[in-house]
Amino acid sequence: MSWETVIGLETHVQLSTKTKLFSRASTAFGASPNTNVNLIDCGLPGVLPSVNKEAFYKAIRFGMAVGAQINQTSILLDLEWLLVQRLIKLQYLTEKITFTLISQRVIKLLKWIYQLL
Amino acid sequence: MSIQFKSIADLREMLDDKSISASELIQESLELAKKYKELNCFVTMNEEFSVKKANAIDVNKKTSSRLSGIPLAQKDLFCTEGLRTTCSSKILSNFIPPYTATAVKKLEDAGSITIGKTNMDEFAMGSSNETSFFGNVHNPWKKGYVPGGSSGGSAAAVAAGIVPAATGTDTGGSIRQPAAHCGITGLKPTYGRISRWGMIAFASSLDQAGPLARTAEDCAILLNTMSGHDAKDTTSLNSNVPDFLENINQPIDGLKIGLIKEFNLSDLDSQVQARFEESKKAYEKLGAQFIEVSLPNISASVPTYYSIAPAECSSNLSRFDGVRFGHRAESTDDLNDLYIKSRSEGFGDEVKRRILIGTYALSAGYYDAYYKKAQQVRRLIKNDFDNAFQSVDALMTPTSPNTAFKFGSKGTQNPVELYLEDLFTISSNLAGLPAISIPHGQVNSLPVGLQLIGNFLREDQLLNAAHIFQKNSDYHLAKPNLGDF
Repeated sequence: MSWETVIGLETHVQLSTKTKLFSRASTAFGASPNTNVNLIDCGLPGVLPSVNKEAFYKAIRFGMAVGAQINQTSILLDLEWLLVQRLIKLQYLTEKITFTLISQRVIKLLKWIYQLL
Repeated sequence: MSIQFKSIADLREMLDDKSISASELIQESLELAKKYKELNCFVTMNEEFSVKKANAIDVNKKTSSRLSGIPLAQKDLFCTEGLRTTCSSKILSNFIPPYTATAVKKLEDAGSITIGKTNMDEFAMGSSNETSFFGNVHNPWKKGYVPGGSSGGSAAAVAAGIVPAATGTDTGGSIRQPAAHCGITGLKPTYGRISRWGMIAFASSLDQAGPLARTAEDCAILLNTMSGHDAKDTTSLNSNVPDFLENINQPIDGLKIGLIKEFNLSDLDSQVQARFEESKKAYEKLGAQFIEVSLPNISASVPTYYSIAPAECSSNLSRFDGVRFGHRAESTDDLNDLYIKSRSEGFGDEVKRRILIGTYALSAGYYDAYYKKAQQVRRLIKNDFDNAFQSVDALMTPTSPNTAFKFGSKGTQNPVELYLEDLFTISSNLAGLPAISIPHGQVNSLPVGLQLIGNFLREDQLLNAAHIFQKNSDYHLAKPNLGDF
C-alpha cells in the first residue's frame, strides 16, 4: 500500500489594520480598558458586522505575492455568504485562500523536504 | 374632527391647513391607543417623548417633510435608543438599546413621531401573533381572532385607526399576511432596499423591513423615506431609489400579470376564491392582461424556507446568553448553567423549536443534506421567478389561503398547520422579490388580501398597480367596528 502525504497549514496572522476586522473600533495597543469597543463588538441585538476592506486587500495582496489565484467573483459571493454566516464563514474564506497557496507552492516545497528526509 | 382612520395624506392636509396641531394630533393618537388597550397592539408606549417632539414641531413650524408631526408605530424588533425593545420575548423584556435602527431613524429624522412599539410574534417567529410573551393581539375586525403575524400589533394598530401607518418586517410573509388579515395595505420591498441595521435579526438572508398603512399611497410615502443604501448594512443595495409617490398614478393599461399555474386555487375556500376572481376582473377592466405562468419549483418553497430560516435563526439567536443584555437566570452554578437557564427561561416554545431545528440542520453531517440542499432549491425557485418575469410584469395570488382564525385554533397540535399559512408569501422572500398585499373585500365579515409580487427593485410597479386598484374601488376604506373593544 502506498501513501501520499498531504499537509495543510492554517496560519493566523495579526494584520496591521487601524480598525478591527468586523467593526470600526480601533486596534491601538495600550488604550484604557473598554474603550476600543463598539456596538458591533458587544454583539448587541440588531447590529451587523461590516468587513474591514483593508483586511481583504491585505489577504488578496498576500495571495498575489505567493502566486495564488485570486478568484474575483467567488470572493464577492463569499462576502455575501459571510454576512449571513458571519465568523464561521470568514474562516472558510481564509481556509480557501490558504488551500490555494498550499496546493501551488507550499506542498511542492514540503514534498521536496520530505524527499530529502 | 377625529383623526381615527385617517391616512398620512389626510393628516398632512389637516396639519398644513392648521385644522390640527402636531401636539393635538399626537395627543389624540395616544388617547386612541389607550382607548383600545384591550387590542394589545402595543408593548411599550413612548408618550413623554412623543409629546415633547410634537411640541417642538409646533414651535418650529417647519413642515417641509411630508412626515413631519405624523404619529407612527414601530414594530418592537427595531432598536430604538432609550426606548425598550423586546422582540416580544421574555429574554429581551428589560433591553433598552443604546442606538436606533436606520429605518426608524430615517422616519424620525423626517419628522414622524414614534408613539410606541408594537406587539409581535416572539422574534418574528409565527403567523398569528400568538407566540408573543406579552399576550395575543386581537384582530380589530373580530375579538378573539388573530391579527396575523408576525407584525400583528403593527397591522392591528393601523387597522384600528390608532396610527395612520406602522413599520413591520417580513421574513416569510410577516408584513403581508397580517395586513391581509386586518384589511390594510402592506409592502415587503426587495431584499436590501431598506437597511437592516438595528433590526433584530431572525433570518438574515430573508428579513426585510417595510411599511403597513391604510393605502398604497401612504406605503409609497414611507418607502421613499425608509429606502436607500446604508454603510452599516453591507447587504443594503446601492441602487438608485426612485420617487415612489411620483409614479404612483400611471395608467396600468397593458400591464401583464401572471397567474401561477402551480397554485391550485380551486383547493381554497370558495369565497376566498370568488374574491380573487372578482379582483382579477377588476384588473382586467383597468386594462391589465392575465397570463398563466409556470414556476415548477414553487411547491418546494415552504420546506425550503423551514430549512433555511431556522438555520439562520439558530445562529442569530446564539447571542442571547444572559451575559451582556436581556434576561439572566438567578442562582446558577457555573457559566454553562447560566447560559442554559437564561435561555430556557427566556425563550418561548416556538423560538426553542426553531433553534432546535436550525441547530440540527447546520450540524456536522446534516449541513449538506439540509441547509446546503435548501440553498440549492432556493436558487431554483429564484430562477423560476426570473423566467416568469421574462413574460410578465407582476404575479398575482391571494395573500393568505384563508381569513383570520380564532385564537388557539391552529398549530397547537401540529405546527406545520400554521406554517402553511405562509404558502403564498414565502417564495418572494426566498427570491428576494418585492410584494404587496392590498385588501379586496371580506369573507364572513373578515378582510381578505390580494398579493402582487413584482420583479427585483420594481416596487414602483407594485405601488402603481395597487394605487390604481384602490382609486377604482373602496375596499381599502372599509373600517372595522370597534364596539367590542
